[in-house]
Parts: sequence; structure tokens; C-alpha cells
Amino acid sequence: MRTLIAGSLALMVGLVLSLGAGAADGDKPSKELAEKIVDEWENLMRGKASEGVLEMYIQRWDRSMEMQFFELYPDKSLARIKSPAEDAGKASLKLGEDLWAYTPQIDQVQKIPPSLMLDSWMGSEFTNDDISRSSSVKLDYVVGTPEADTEDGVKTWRIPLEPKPDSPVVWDKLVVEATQEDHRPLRQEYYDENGQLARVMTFSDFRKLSDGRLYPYKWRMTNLQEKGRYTEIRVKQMEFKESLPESMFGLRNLKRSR
Amino acid sequence: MWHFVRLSWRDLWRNTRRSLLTGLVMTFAVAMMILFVGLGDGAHSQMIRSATESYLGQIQVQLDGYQDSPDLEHLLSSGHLAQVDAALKGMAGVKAHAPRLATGALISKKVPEPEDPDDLEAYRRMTSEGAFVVGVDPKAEREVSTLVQSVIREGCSDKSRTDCPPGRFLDDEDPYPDNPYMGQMVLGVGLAGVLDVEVGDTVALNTGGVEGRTFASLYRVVGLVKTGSLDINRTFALTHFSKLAAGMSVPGAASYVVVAIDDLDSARELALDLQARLDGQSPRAAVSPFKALSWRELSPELDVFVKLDQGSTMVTLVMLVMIVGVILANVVTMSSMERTREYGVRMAVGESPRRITWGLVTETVLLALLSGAVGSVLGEAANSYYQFHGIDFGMGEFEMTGVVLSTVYNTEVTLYGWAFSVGTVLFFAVVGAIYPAWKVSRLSPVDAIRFV
Amino acid sequence: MLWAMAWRNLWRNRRRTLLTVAAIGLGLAVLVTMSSFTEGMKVMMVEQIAQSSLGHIQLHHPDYLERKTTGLVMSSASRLLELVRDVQGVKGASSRLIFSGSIRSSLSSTVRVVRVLAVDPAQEQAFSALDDKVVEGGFVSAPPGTSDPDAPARMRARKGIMVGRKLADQLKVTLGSKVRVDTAGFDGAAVAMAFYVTGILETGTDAFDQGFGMVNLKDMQEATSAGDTVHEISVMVGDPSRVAEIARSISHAISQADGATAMGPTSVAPWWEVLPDLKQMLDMSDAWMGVLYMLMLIILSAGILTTMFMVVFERKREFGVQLALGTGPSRLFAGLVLESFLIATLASVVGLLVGAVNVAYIVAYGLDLSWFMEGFEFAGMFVENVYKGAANVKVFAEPTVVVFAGTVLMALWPAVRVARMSAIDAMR
Repeated sequence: MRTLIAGSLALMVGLVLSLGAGAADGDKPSKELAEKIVDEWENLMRGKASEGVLEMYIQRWDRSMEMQFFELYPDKSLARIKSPAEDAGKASLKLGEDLWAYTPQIDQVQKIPPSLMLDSWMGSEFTNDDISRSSSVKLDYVVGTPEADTEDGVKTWRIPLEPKPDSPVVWDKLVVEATQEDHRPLRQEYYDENGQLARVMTFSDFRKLSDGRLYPYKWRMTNLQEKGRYTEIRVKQMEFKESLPESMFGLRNLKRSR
Repeated sequence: MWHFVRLSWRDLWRNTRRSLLTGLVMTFAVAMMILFVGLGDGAHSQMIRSATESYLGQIQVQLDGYQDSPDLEHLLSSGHLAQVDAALKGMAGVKAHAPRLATGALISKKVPEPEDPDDLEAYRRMTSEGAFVVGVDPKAEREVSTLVQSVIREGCSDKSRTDCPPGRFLDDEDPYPDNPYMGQMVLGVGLAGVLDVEVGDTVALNTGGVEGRTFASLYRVVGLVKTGSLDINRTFALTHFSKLAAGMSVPGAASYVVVAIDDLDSARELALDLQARLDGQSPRAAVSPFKALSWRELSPELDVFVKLDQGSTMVTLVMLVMIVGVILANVVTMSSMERTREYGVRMAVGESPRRITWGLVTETVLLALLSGAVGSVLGEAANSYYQFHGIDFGMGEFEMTGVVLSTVYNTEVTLYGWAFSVGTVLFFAVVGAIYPAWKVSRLSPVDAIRFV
Repeated sequence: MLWAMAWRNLWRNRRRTLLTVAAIGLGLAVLVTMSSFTEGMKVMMVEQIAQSSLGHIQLHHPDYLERKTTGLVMSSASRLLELVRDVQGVKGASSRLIFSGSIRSSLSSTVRVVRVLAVDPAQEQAFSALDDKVVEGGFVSAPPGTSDPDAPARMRARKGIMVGRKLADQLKVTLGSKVRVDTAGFDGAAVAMAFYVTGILETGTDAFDQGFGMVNLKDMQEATSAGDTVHEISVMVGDPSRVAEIARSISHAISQADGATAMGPTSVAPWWEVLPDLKQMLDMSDAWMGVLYMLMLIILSAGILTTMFMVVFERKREFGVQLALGTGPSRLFAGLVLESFLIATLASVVGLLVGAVNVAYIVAYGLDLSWFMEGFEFAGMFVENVYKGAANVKVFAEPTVVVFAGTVLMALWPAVRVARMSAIDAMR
């Protein structure tokens, strides 16, 4: 469901953990460094699960939604809307490549057909595909050499990611910008084929979790192609777990309004 | 002059048989041509009518911009609809109008839960299909399209079954006024087949709403429609307009208004007229929010087809005229030639060749006019008859049912058809008279009398 | 003997005979021309439609047309295609996979649902009218570099797509742009693919300009693991009037082929089963032409009848004399009938000659109506301003036979009247 969140989360967690491992990792702008960062993140995400509550604010419609989410790496997630009342109980389930939606008002489970994958998820700037696609960025992109930069006085690495030849991603390039010091991810940039910035995801409000990780409690996806309209996700509660029961990610659970 | 005409008239009837015969052919020609024109216009109109009546309509009123982006951001609000109503009121040539709300949707059959909710395969088999849901007002829709009549008797799409429940169109009023999540629906046969749905089943529909929301609702299927368009049959789902609009949080709003008109040929003019009326409603607005489009603009493909048909009709009309011309000229020439002896006699007794020539022409003209009059009456009578009864042609190899053509009685058409027919006959009659007339004027009385 | 006399009688009044022959002959010429024109029209309309990728005949899985479900495919498609191609009368065939999917590019947030047609460009190009409508790039051509062995692997693996102009504008793409297409594979699972725009077409109809994309069949089969299956085989025939017959031949060939069962059930549908709507419109047009033809015949007949009557009555005295001299009425009758026969023959010759010239012209050059019709240029697909005629035996034979028979028949009535005359009345 929020695997994008999960994915970026993993990236960040990896970066954070690698703080101890090699924060002062030579600070050499090498591909190895970039790969290392991404690898560490991926390694970290294996076998992990998470759950929490978040609020999504869609600036375009000036609308807010509160959702409960559960996630089981690598490809299972469940999201359930808690408010507003007219949407309460609606839920989405991602199982592998499939996306299912439940509407309580009519008590019906429907499979979202692939042709709607590129449609916006719940009216936000995220697409169904963003939400459901496999967490690994490395699956679709080739990591490039990082470039040093500064943002608000903070030293950062800008890591370019180029799509692999076969990957059906629509972007021409991604750039992930993380701090040099603790590898905190600050933003993820999406470029169109003309080299123009099309969307950008920014992370902020970092807080320490119960297990010591530094986690961003605010994510904003801005659509620059559409006059900068954005969707902001504010995490209200967040907890990493060793695992979650598989039964939670079934259609039966989808319908329960717990 | 008048005296001359009277004389010619008398001369005409001197040989009754000959004049009658000639006149008969002329009458026939006029009647046939009038019938031709009437039929032609009728067939033409009918073709347009059947193509537009099935769904498109002859004129549509939309929000400006809808044609390019037919989405929920270009809806006509209830306020707009009221303005459209006002503009259409009392407009001559307009038969009826009806609103429609159309949008893409995800549709699936509502089935009892599989026993094992974790049985993904069972769920996968519950196909959701992309569909096009159209909210209509059954009472108004009846007047503007043949959708209502497209409902088939059988309420299931399995042709081999004999126990299909009966199907019907939507009720005039929404039978579930208090339940926002329950409605009534009619599906295209193709769509019903894919979903394995029949009358009595319930389907679930998910559509987009404004502000990126989604609206989900259940519908009881009461009938299936089958139109001549396989596309429509495969994607359409019809329900009540007001309920759909309310559910999608756009109460009373429509995608467009369908307008049915009497005279199909004037669709474009009427559309322009309507546009002017609509524009006049908001004189201070820089740009009118409305767009009134005729079927020509709505479906350029149909427009082309119609033009093609018109072109071919023109060509065949020309050929008809040629045949008429040839026959008429021949008949008149021959009948005039026969009278050469008579002219010879008349010249012998002192009539000038010139007078004879003119006499011949005048007689011909008179005869043509008389025949024209009679032929017109006959032709119009035939037109009127066929307007109501139509001409039935059984089709050849492919179809079992006949194709019915009926003529359309329309004052404009009649006038031009009449004028054209009479004019053609007159023209060729005179042409046919010229050669003999010329010949005669050259003859000496002696030769004329000896003419065989 | 009677013939000779009839012939001589005819030429006794040369002018009259000539006029009659001319009138009937010209009338016949017009009918022949008309016949050629309408035949040509019918053929042309069907051809236009067939070439806009419909084809004359289509093969599908039996349930496909009604349901259009992705899973309803025909197997052993290449074998099937071969079979079809070998059927006598088939000019060309092209196989296709058809999907519904959504498409987007990196340059715009617009997402569109489109129909994706996967074809073999060479096969399809051979008979599709869409080929003429390509305004930029090529007809489902491969992206540059794909056949260059020195190009990097990533370039060689690229797949091309052809889209309509309106869609290209909405997605803000140009030649070389990358787009992503999402669709459901055969088991319902999602398939996402990347394509590079290698062709843009403009037809003037939304169906193609806005809701359509064309890709390479092999690429699609690979991406969806379709194997050797297709949804549709579109067939073009050499002689459009034989469509029904050829369709039957194809069905037969398939059922008799080895491995028929491996290919799965296949239904062979002539175009009118695929587009019943259009069929009805054409039928109406046809019926209309029939009516016209009849009207012309009626007028022609009326004219002939009148002429015959006139001729007969003009010779009343002559007949009277003959009767008085002892010629039997039946002989008179026969003579007149023979005369009409001869006239008919002469008229037929004239008619056929003039008609042939006309037909030759309209078959070669057609009738150009562009001066009369406005706005044909933008209308795309179905338009040809030039109506070509058709030339076959029927076009000539039918009107000739009818007019010939009609002439002789029309002469019967006056001939009977003559036979019944009394010599004295006649001579008066």
C-alpha cells in the first residue's frame, strides 16, 4: 500500500543505520558509495514489517484523510481509511502485483485492473502504481555516481538513478539527495525526458523512533507539471516490527473495519 | 399574344391521341422525378436519423471544452441546465431534449462472498470491467433517442437459454429514492455477457467523483440493451441521472444535453440558432460557457458518410435527368415530326413558317405545363402516401428483415423538388421541339406535304 | 424472309428509326453508366472501411467479438495465418493482439486509456489505409538503433509505438519520447511496458487520433508471454463481391487442417457481422439505388411504349393497305414484333458502345466531386472525392437484357392493336 513510503523509509533507515557503520565513509563521491547506501537500505528492509497511522492532505482539493496502515515486506500492504466519515472503512490491499479495494457502503471487494494503475490514488498526487510497486528502486534503476552539493547549509550527496533498459518506468532520471553526514534523505526528484523536474518528494520532520531510527514524519509529493500542487503525508504513529501475521493481508481482513 | 396561345392550345388538341401520348410521358416523368426527390430526401433523412437516434442525438449542448476533455471538470451545472431549458423553450424545430451524465466506471458483479475469503482465485474470477456509465432521465430519453427501445426481451445474454427472465428499461422514477447506494441499471448485452450478469442480478459500480473522490454504489439490473454498435453493447451501463449525479457529488449536473429535432437537414442551423440563444443568456460574460453542436460536429465520420451519400445521390439524379431528357426529347421530336404534313398544308394555305415554328414550341410548352400540373399532383400524392406507409424492400443475402424507406413531407423540399421536376421536363420538351421546329421552318410546303 | 421485310420496313423511315434507336440506345447507355457507378460506389465504401484496419473478413475466437475479453485468443497463430493466406481469393492477412491499457509519459500528468493494437508492421502496412495517415516517423517502426549491432544493448531492446496526434499532444510527446503502457495480461496480472514513440498519425477521427496506439506484435507477445497467440486476424480479399464465399473457404480450410484442434475454435466473420451498424447504412443506400434504378426503368419503358405507339399509329394507313391486300393479321403482328426486335438490337449496340465509353472513363478517372463537397480534406479515413465505377459483366449485361426485353415487350401492345385493326378503319 504505501510501499513507496516503505521504500523510501527503508532507504532512510539504511542511511541512518549506516551512520554508525561508516558515517565518515571517506566522503568520496563514488559509485560504490551510492551503491552501498542503496544496498544497506535494501538489506535492512528484508524481513521487516511496520504499522502506523498517517494523515494525507491533498492540497488540490483541500481535503484530508486519516489512514491506518500495515506493511509486510516485500510486497504486502494494507491501508484503511479512518476519517472523514464518508470514506471511513474504505480499504486497499496490495498483494504482489495486485491491488484490491473494498467499499463498505456496498460491501464489495473489487480488483483494480492494471489499466488503472497509473491513475491517481484516492485523488492524490501519488498514483496507484506508486503505492503498489515493488519497494526496490534497484529493480528498475541503475545507481550512478553521487555529486556533492549543499542544501540550506547542509552538505549533501545527490545520487542519480537511471532507468534500466527494460524497466517500464516513465521517468528519465531520478535523483535522491541525502545528507552527507548521516545520510538522511531529503528529497527524491523525478525528471522527465527533457531533463525538467516533473515531481519531487521531500522529507522532513525527522524524529527518533523507539528503536533509535531517525524517521521523517512528513512527506510531500509535489507535482511540478501541474502548477506545483502537492499531497502531503503526515505520519502520526509509526512502529517497526519484526513481522506481522500473513493473515492480516488477506481479503477477509480487508473487509473488517477494525 | 394571348390569342396566339389560345390558338396553339386548340391546335394541340387537334390530334388528341398524339398529344395525349406525349403528355402522358411528360406527366409520368414529372411524377417520377418528384417521387425520386421525395424518396431521396426521405432515405437521406432516415439514414441520419437512425444513425443519430441510437445514442448521439442530432444536437448536443455541452460546456465549452467538454468536446476536447469529456471529464467531470466540464459539466453543465444545474444552473446551466436551467438556462438550456429556457433557451430551448418555444424554439421552433426542436422536438425534445434530455440531460445525460456520462463517465467511466469500474463495474463488477455482486456475488456472495466466496466461502474462503482468502481464496484469491475465486476473487480473481470476479471480474471488474471498465465500463461507461450514463445517467439518463427515462421519460425525457424516450423522446430523444431509441435507447429505450433497444432493450431486448430476454434478460440474459446466453442465447442458448430458454428461461431468461424478462427485461425492461429503467423505471421512470428511481425506485430507491431513500438509499443513496442502491439504484437501477440497464446493461449492454456484451457487458452483461462478460460479467455473467442477467436481469435480477446486482452489480457494483465505482466511478470517479469530483475532487478525486470515488463513488461506489450497487445497482439492480432490470434489462439489457442491444444496439447496432458493438462498442455500446460492450461498455454501456445506464442508470438514473439524478441519482448518479447526487452520488458523484454533482447534484443536478450533466455532461451534456441531447436535443432531438424535426428536420435533420437543418441541424447545423438550429445548432447555431441555439448557440445564439444560449449566448444571449449571459451577455456580460466574455465567453459563453455553452457549446451547441450538431451531429456533424459530434461525429465527423458520420458527416463524411452522409456527404458521400449525398454526392452519389446527386450523380444519380443527373443520370435520371439524362434519361428523362433523352426520352422526352425523343417523344416530342417524333410527335412533332409526324405533323410535318400538317404543317405543309398550313404553309400551303399561307401560314408563315415562323408562326408554325412558334406554334409548335408554344404547344409543347403548354403541354408540358399541363402535364407538369397533373404530374405534380400525382407525384405529391405518391410522396404523401409513402411518407406514411414507406416502401418496403426485402434485402438480399444477409438480412432477414426488410429495409423500409419512407418519404418525408417537407415544404421546402417539395417546392424545390417540384420546381426541378417541372423545369427539367419543360426544358427537354422544348429541346425536343427545336429540331423539328427548325426543320419545318426550312421546308417548302410541297416537301412538307410529301414528308413521310 | 420476314426478317428481311422487317428490316426494310425499318429503313423506310430512316429518321424515325434512327430517333427511336438513339433514344433507347442512349437510355441504355445511361443505365449502364448508372449501374457501373452504383456498383463502384458499393465496392468503394466497403473498401474504405476494410482498409481502415477492419479488413473484409475477420477471424476471432468465437466469443471474442461479443465479450472482447483478453483471454479469448486463437492459438497456433502463425500456422493459422499461413492457412488463411493460402486460401484462394485472399489478398493479404494480418494478425493482431488487442489490449486496453493506460498510457502516460514523463512530460505530462495526463493518463489516458487507449486501445493498443499489436501488429506485424509489414503485414499490416500492406493493406491498411492508416499507412497513408502517418504524419511523422514510420508505421510502427522500430526505434533507431534496434537493428544496429554496435548499438548498446539498452538501445537495441527498445520497442516502438505509433500513436495518434491528439494523444501525442495530450501526453506532450514527440518522436523519440518514452511512454509507459499498463495493461492486463492474459491471466489478469498487470503488465507494464515501456515504448518509444516512433510514429504519429493523423486521421481526423478521435478513435485513432486519441484512443489508439500501435505496437509490434512480437514485442507484445513477448511482454505478455502470449506465445503464438493472437486475438484477431484481419483478411483482405481480392474481389470484394466474393467475401461470403471466401469466408466459407477459410472456415473450411481451417477445419480440415492438421492440428485443427490445436488451433482452438475459430470463427470467421465477414465484415458485416463485425459492424452491423454500418451494414445497415449500406443496405439502406443499396435499397435506395435499387429504387432509383427502377424509376429510371419505368421512365424508359414509358418512353419506349409511347414511341412504339406513335410509330404504329403513324403507319396506320400502311397497315390498312397491307391488310386489304391480304396480309394476315398475325403476319402483321409478327412483322412488328420483329421490327421491335431489330430496333432493340440496334439500340443495344448503340447503348453498349456509348455505355462502354462512359464506363471506361469512370473506371479510369472516376467522377470527381470535390468541387461540390466542402470540407472533405480534414475528414480523414473514409474519404475519397473521386467515385470510381466498376466494370464487370453484370454492369453491362443486366441493363442491356432489361432494356432489350422491355423494348420488345413494349412493342407487343401496339402490335396487338394493329393486328386487331380492320383494314377499312386503318385506311381512313
